[in-house]
Amino acid sequence: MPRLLGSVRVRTALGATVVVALALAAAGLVIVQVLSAGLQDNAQVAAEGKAREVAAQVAAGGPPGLAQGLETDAPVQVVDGSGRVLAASDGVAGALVFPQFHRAGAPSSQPTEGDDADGPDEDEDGDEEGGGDGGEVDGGADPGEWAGEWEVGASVGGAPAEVEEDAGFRDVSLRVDEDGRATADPDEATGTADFRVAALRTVSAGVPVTVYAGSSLTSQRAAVSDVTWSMLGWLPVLLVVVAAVTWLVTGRSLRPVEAIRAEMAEIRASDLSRRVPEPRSRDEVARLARTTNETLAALEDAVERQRRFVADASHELRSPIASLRTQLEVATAHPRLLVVDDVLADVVRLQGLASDLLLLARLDAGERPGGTRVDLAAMVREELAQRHRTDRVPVVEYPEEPPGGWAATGGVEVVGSRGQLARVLANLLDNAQRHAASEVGVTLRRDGRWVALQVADDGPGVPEDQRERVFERFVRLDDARSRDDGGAGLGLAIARDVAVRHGGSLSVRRAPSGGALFELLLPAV
Amino acid sequence: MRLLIVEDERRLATALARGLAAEGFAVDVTHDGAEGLRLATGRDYDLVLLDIMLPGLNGYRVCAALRAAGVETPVLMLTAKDGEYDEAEGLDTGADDYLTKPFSYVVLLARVRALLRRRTRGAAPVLRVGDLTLDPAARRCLRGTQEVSLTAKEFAVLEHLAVRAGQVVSKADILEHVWDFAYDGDPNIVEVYVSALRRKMDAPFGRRSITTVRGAGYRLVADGGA
Repeated sequence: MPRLLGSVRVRTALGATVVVALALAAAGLVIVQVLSAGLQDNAQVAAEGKAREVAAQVAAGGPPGLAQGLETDAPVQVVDGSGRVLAASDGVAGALVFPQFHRAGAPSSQPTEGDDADGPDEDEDGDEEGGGDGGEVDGGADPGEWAGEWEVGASVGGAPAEVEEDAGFRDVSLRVDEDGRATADPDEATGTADFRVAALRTVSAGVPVTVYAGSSLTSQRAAVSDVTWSMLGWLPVLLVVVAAVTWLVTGRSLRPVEAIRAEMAEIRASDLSRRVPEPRSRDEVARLARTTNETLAALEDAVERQRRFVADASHELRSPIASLRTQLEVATAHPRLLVVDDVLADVVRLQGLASDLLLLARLDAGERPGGTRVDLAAMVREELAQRHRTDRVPVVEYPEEPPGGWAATGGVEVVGSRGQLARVLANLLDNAQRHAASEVGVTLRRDGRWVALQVADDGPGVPEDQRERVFERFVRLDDARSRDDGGAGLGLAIARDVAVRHGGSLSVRRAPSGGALFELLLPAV
Repeated sequence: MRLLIVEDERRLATALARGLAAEGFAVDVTHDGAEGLRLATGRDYDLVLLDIMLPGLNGYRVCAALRAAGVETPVLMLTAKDGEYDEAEGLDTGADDYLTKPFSYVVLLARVRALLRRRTRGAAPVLRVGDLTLDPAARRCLRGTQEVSLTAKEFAVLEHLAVRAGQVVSKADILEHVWDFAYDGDPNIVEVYVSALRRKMDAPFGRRSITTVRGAGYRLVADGGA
């Protein structure tokens, strides 16, 4: 079961079904309530109408006895204060069938029942068997008192007596015959049925009487029950439909998700060129697919870049290693042919390459540069002092130090890693010296909040369409130059990486002398 | 046997050239593809060792141009490219063999010998001229069962003659295949070596297998003077 609930589809269908079931149950309850109340009102109105009709006859007519044999389907009885049935409709003639509530002669303060079928009704139902003999009429009320109080009945035989305005109501269970008509004869009775009974007090021939009229609640109960059962019958069908529709719709909208998942499961690092299917819709799932594909593309790019780097790196490492191996193997065969300087040169080259690759890997890993203050002016001076003695092409510093020292313009100090920045300078100078014809010029100046270091050579320069390519790894523009004195094509890539890590930039443009001018910009302290 | 090395790794090329020269080969070296093509088409080399990543003209194009020019010289490609397609491309452009850097010098030598053998005499690893036996791999020379000790250069001259046994081989031809262009001395050096060979492998055995063809060159015969 927990496995089954693990499916969004199952959960959604279940949830929707439960919510719909609750809503339908509540709605059904309200409907049944309203219907039941409405039908009860109808029964009450019918009962009151009949009671009022008979009461009017009784009040207008002679002695209640004349009202014998009322022509009506509804059970009607006219009862005097002592519980004697003065008149009754067919079927309920003779014995008193109604419980004596709202009795003539009773104090007006006696509460009349509402139209609810509540507790007291049950009691009445219980007494109802014996209702016929009117035995439990409590305290014979003085008819005069009632008549006096209502100020009716004084005109016996004269003007028609008044009929009480407000009727009393009660639900009563009566014996009924097989046609469902109320009967007073226990022999005819085939069962009982609920009636809404209205009781109206009036005066007949000077005698206070109560007119009871009943209206069957059977049809109302039947209607409510029909409605209830039909609703209960349709409920499961509806719920099955809701569950099925939810199941289908969620299945349909989740199908692209499943397709995406299946594709993702297939994708391995070795095959990042694959993409998840993008549904044609413009919903959340489509956006998820799009984002997933963008992520995959970025990932593929990164992996491809990494793979190319590793391939290039291993290729670059192969050359000095091959050279070393051949030199040493030849020397093994012919010991006098060993040229130690050449072996050493290759070892140095291998060392340089290894440290370049290591530095690039560290930069790629996002290593933060150090936080020491570095004085670029001092660094340039040191580097030039080292180079002066040995180099083929001289490096000349063109000082732009303002009168009064660097402090006048804010100094040329930057924050970062001294080693890495020295490496950038060395790489730029190496590169310039390699390409220069006769001279390399270094210029350092303060440019607003930037420190600018420019290295210019008078060589062939960098073609405009190659000015970004020179900063790519393992790119050598000088194809005509031999590998072992041209570097591996990592120097400028490292320089730019370091510059960017220090919050600066490195770019190349045409020097005034026609060669290349590399400009390193770093944020000043 | 004269070899051409076209390789831009200067120290690798130099070490290789020195080693091969010590084995008795005449070796020329260039670091540039275009220059390599010029040399290989201009002279009759026995083998070209060709790098692929070359300045000027890459190895594939040098090889293709050589074959297009009708030069049948065996080409052994040396490269740091180790992809299977790189290798296939190298062989398809006309190379005869392919070695990935870093390579074993011993294997390189064996392959050089194998390629030269194919070119000069088919599959047999040793050369036989009458009762004279030459084993280039071991650089051994036998007259009958007796070993004749020869220097690398002497062996190279003898091998050159033995490959063309029965044919007249000119002095210039010997000079071209046995000495590299670093040698600019007297062409008569060939005579010096031929007489050294006669002294070592003919005289002690009472043979005259190397005969002089006046005005044309030398000829190695199987039964000379026997």
